[in-house]
Amino acid sequence: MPIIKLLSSDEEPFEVDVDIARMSITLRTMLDDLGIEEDDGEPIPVQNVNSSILRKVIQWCTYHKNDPPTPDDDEQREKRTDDIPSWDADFLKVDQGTLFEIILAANYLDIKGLLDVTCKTVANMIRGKTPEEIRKTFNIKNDFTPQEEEQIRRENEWCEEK
Amino acid sequence: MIFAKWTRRKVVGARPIKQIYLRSRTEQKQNGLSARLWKQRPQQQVAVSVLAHEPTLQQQQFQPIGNLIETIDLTRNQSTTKMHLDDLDNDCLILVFNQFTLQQLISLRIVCRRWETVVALICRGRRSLHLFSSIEDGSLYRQFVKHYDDETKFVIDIVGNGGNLLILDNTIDRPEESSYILPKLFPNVRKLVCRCRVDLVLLLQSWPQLEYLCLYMLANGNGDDEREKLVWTHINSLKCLKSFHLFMYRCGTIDDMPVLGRLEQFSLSYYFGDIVSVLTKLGPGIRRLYLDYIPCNLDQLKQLIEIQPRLADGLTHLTVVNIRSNQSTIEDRKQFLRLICMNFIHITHLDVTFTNQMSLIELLPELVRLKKLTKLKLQISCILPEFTIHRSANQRPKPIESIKTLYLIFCKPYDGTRLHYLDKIPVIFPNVEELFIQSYNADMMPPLKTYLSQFRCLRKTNLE
Repeated sequence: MPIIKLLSSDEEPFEVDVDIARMSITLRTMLDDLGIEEDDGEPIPVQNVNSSILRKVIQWCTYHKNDPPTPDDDEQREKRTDDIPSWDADFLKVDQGTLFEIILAANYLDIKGLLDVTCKTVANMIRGKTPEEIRKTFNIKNDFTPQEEEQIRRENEWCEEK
Repeated sequence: MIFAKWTRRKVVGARPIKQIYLRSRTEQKQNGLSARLWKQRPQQQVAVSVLAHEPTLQQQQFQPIGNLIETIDLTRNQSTTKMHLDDLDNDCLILVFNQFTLQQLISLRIVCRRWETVVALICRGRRSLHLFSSIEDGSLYRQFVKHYDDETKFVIDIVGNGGNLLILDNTIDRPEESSYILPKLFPNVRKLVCRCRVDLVLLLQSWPQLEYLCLYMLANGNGDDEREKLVWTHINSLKCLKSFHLFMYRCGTIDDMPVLGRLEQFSLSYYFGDIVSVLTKLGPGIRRLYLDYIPCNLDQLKQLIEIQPRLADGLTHLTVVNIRSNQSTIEDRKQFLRLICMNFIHITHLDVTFTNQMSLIELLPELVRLKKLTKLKLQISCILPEFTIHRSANQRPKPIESIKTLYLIFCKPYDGTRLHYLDKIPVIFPNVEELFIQSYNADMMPPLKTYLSQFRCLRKTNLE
């Protein structure tokens, strides 16, 4: 199996199977454009992803390397967040900061499957909570004035189930 | 001085470059830019560094590379500070919020200003809305839209999860509440399905750019004729409206409807007024016509064709389901179908399910006249025993070779005594490639596998 070298933003090198690296659309495009098929000595810099997050990303890609391609987004497709595979759910049992960094990395590297599952995990952390509970969970400051908040509450009345 | 200009795809006007420093207004863009730039300068071993967000440099789109090299490299991700949800850029937050239904999404507006902004961004991008009420379960509606052939889907697409919004019963007596806020939240709506009490005048006023409008089960309960006239006035003023659908609309007679002349798609169901006067208002631009549970007899059809012969000019999709008439003779029925086949010659998609004028297998040869017909939907049930044209021995039905897609609905109970009709179907439609079968009764009919093997060109089967 051909290997390539990735370099995290904090300059830690990672040796990765080409097939696993190619699960990232960003890396795949890069490799295709440069005609890189295996390690040619020069590591590929993965900007914006530090070593601890890149390690997680590689771990996820390695586990999912044989998955079928993720279907494209479809606005009409039923949105579900209760279908996170158990391995992924365990994999994403990390602190909030790490989870958000994985989202950023998945977005930057364009790994749709990882992005989907991380976004679903965050959505599940939000779902079913009152606004106050959401603020508390994610340490968000309520920056509305009482009048503004009341206005939005009234505007939402027609669609919020009591 | 070397300049680099960022275009959508590449950096131009700055080669050879040994080192590129990047900055952009958002972190998201920085990420994408650095990856793409690195790709575009493979031969030059370009080092790409992402500069942190610097307000003073934001204003310029053209950055002198030489100067930038002197700028301090503030490559991200060296920091060990813990990230918050709020640190995700809008693009990522949108990806998270996209996991919610519109209903849930709207309730997130109240968390903080940023979330309100992000929800607004998502809502602004929405082009279609399906408003419904919790007091109506929607199954009847889904039953209706099922009659649309799969390719059309112009209603079903909207019924998908994406644009559903439940208008709660607690505001049903105050429909204006939702009608005020909806256009504010969703200013760019082009397609609207409405199955609940809302203030239609307000909505139509706010969405003059509607291209698609479907009104379902909107009975005018309070008998307010003036209000109803106002609604029609606003519908008529929708200049972009191309697709208009009235399902079970039980209000008054449709009189003054200039909008009909501009339509490409029109549906009407459970309408008991004068159907001829409505259909003659349609213009030559009409492409798809859906009629359901409407009384229409041979005379009315003749009248329609006489008054508005151009109706047939562009009509390609015709759905006439549950059309009833009191004519029961086979000759009348034959005439009815023949009239359609002779006049609407451009039809490619035809659905005649549950229409008693057209559901006789003996009438199918009439369809040979529709040379462009590729998709046909019909049910096998109302076969009157006295008509046995093809029943006689050795009489081979004329094949309709143009049809590639066939929907067959076997009405329950299919008593099994008319299997000779069943056998004729593969002969009549020898080139069918896609077959959709509903209510196949395995007890009364031949094994499905055996039956399907009679269709020589079959590539795809869908069994309901």
